Amino acid sequence: KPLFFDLAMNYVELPSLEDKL
Amino acid sequence: LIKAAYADVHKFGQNQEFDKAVKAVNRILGVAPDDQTALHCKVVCLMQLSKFDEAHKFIEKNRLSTSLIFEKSYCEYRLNKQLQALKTIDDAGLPQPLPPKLKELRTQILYRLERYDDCLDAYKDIIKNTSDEYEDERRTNLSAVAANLA
Ligand SMILES: [K+]
Repeated sequence: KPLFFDLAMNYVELPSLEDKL
Repeated sequence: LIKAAYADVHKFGQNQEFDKAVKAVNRILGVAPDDQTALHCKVVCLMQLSKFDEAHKFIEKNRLSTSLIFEKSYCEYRLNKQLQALKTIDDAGLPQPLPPKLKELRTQILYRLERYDDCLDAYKDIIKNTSDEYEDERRTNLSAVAANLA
């Protein structure tokens, strides 16, 4: 089975908290 | 209380301590259950903790499906519901071209669906239009698609 990276997981990130801090 | 809890969410998020971040988010939701940013944070924390089923249920229960399209589809992808994951993106009525994160995810879903011709085209498009730190990994993925087409 060829190597296949999950690059979409890199986009699982917290939203901007700028206006909450 | 809310500001202090958000400071904790930010700090623990930066440190990739999502078990602690989710506790801080829960403190916010305890007093502000409709806070959209907190709801979004909770979904991301659950996903970072690999609790994809819980994250997916949380999205549906809190009616976040129209705002958190990427997160919903990604949970479905990890829960091995590839047709639903594709449908979540394609039925969202988003303008083309899709934002980079949805393009990346959609391409991976095509791979899992063994739609290798479409997947190859999608990777060629992403590679042509992207310069980031993951270019080697993406070329590896392109090779995997090509291997399946051979
Ligand atoms: K990754």
